[in-house]
Amino acid sequence: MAFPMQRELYLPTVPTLTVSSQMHSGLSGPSLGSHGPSGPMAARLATGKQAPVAPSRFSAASSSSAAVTVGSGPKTAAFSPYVLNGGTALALAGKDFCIVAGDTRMSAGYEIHTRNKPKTYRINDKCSIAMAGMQADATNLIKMLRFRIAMYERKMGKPMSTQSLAQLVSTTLYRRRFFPIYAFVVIGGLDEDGVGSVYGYDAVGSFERSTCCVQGSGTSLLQPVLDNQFDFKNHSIKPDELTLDESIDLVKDVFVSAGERDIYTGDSVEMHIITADGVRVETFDLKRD
Amino acid sequence: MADLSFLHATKASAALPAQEMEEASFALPAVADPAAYQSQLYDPASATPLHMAHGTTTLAFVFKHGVVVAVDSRATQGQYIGSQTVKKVIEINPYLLGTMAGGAADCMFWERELGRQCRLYELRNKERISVRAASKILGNIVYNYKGMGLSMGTMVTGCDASGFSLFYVDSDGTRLEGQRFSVGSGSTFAYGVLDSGFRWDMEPEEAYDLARRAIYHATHRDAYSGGQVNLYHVREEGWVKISADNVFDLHYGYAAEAAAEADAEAAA
Amino acid sequence: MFLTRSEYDRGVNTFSPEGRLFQVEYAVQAIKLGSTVIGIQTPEGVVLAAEKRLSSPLLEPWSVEKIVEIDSHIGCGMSGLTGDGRTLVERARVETQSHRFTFNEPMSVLATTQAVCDVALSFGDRDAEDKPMSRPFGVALLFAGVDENGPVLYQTDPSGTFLQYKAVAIGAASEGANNHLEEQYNPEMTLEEAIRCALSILKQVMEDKISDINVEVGVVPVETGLYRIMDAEEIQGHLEAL
Repeated sequence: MAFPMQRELYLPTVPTLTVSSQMHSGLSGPSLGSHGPSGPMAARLATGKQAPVAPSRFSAASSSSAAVTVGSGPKTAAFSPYVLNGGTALALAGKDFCIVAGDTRMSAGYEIHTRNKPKTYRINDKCSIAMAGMQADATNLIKMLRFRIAMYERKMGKPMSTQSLAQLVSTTLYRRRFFPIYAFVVIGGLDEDGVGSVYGYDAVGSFERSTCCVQGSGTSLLQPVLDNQFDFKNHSIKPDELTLDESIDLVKDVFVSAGERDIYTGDSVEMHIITADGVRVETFDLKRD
Repeated sequence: MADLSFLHATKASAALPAQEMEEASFALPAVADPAAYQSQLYDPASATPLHMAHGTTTLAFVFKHGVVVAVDSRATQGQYIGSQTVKKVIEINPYLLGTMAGGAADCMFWERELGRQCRLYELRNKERISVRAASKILGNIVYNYKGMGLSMGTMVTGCDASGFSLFYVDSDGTRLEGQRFSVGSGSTFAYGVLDSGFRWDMEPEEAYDLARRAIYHATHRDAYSGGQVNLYHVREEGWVKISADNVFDLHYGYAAEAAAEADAEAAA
Repeated sequence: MFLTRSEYDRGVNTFSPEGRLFQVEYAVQAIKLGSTVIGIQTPEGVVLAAEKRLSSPLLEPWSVEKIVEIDSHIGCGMSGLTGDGRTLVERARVETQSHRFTFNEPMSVLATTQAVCDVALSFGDRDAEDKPMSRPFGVALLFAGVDENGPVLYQTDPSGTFLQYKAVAIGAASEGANNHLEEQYNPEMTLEEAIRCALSILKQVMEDKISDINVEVGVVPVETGLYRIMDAEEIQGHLEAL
């Protein structure tokens, strides 16, 4: 897949340096030096509406950087702010619980930087956030969110509900619409009625409530499996909903499987298990290869 | 540094509280000209051109009994289907609907903002805003960001003192009033069905069937559309959601219908 | 030296040696010229009742507005300089709608009141750009609403102080009305009784004879959680029952 971005294609691409090309090759593995449009992008050309043409007042200053051509002639160091650090984050919601999990590997290209950088962040007794994408942007996002959550708690005198947090994350991401935060967020928590709820986002804040959502490099591997085994999508006979223990086992299974097929997923998994009693954190190890 | 004052042009009210101003200001990349940087991302001449996925089919038409709005529910990211359950009809308020095509976040954010402004209008003026005015607010907002890469093809529809109306608004700044529109990559297919079956004096049930079939046929031929068909009807007293049908059920339902008709013809 | 008030009356933000801000105190006095507004909180909801001074028979009564909607669950009564009140009401409306936008939930009445009081002291003759007013707001507001904490009533004044009340009156006849409220308030009151109580007090303290066109009544019942303003017919019904 050319673009690891969910649902949208707002990824600023700058046609020069290797960092950005690694990032763009994303899920299909590093393919340094490949700059041409890949399959899905070519398909998009056919269906996409023409991109808005910049009016002259904007285009004047762009000529210098737009003049950069790849593979020949002089190169200018372009503004290339993103690195894809890989990894998988997911959340599952049952009728009275929620599981938020992420692996702890952090890599760039084929280099594993650390085996112990959790992608899950506890927000309060009712919800946790997990993020894949770029670690620096994710860390910064969680810092901004924590600040705004604290301000909210002062103002409203109560902890933030999961549905309010869901909206807040969306507006926070959209504030960076023109310079997106390169983090793919999934929120898991209990709603006002104590029912599990999951919200998945794209990089600029489009979101949707669901019962299971995978983000990051393992998305295309795990989401179909969970659709089938957790949501029972398109089953003509629906089995009983999974219990908490069954769901935990399923999470472990899918992470082990992702570790076998996705180079960016591995090492260990941190799992936040949210029930009416609060948040319990569990970890389990994956292969370290 | 480029003049960025236009970014705040829609938010110039003196009565804006601090938090509001914080909401209103968009962070920009540290480049000499952020606007140019945005347009560069979508420059077709670039070595890695980006094009907005318009993987969507939405339609709306005005007829005797109100406005029918129908949409698919698929969101695509290249060949990967991001979601099959996107709500592409945005419930701006109980009597205004917007549709979503283009950037999901753009549509969602700005139509929510439209909802906020319509509510403030209502509080200030003690009457509901007209669809005409509401669509103009949205058009003006996105026009302020023209060239910045917003992607939005939306229909704003509802009922006001002057009756039912339907407007098409997009991120290029186009704003059109019309009787029927279809927006998105599957729109050509939907238009074909819609235009051939449309009559002003349809009964509501006929209109629902037509809208559903138009979206269904678009999902059948356009790989970027699919999921389910969500159908809304705007009436004088506000909108109601009529149905949400999985394309799977529609396909085999229509197939069975066609087979039954063929049998009847053969028997005759 | 420094003993006369006038020395410290010139600057809007100059303390007197006794620690007083005279202009703010005068603004509080301005409210005592305003028309009377009464608020009563009951377990069933909150009621606001306001006197409309119709100074001329040629005046269109609907154009005098003392009770307004802030958001679907909050009403606001004002007394004093209504023009100042409108600025604060606009502020409250924008705050509540922005809160809904950002957090997808209604704003609490307390937070709304707090947000309005945050601007009460943002006046001054310097830094005019970020200070919308050159003098204190000469208005007191009653915020009445229903939120997660149930029915609540707050009163604000020009100094930015806000206090929660079970029942309170502001405006010209506030002293008398507050005495009546202290006598008549009962925590078990029904909403209906509260409406009648407010109207009967207004009837006693108003200079003009009370009628369905010179009072306004707004209620936020717990049952619906929605603010609504009463029409003349409904007010007439309550007045007849007094």
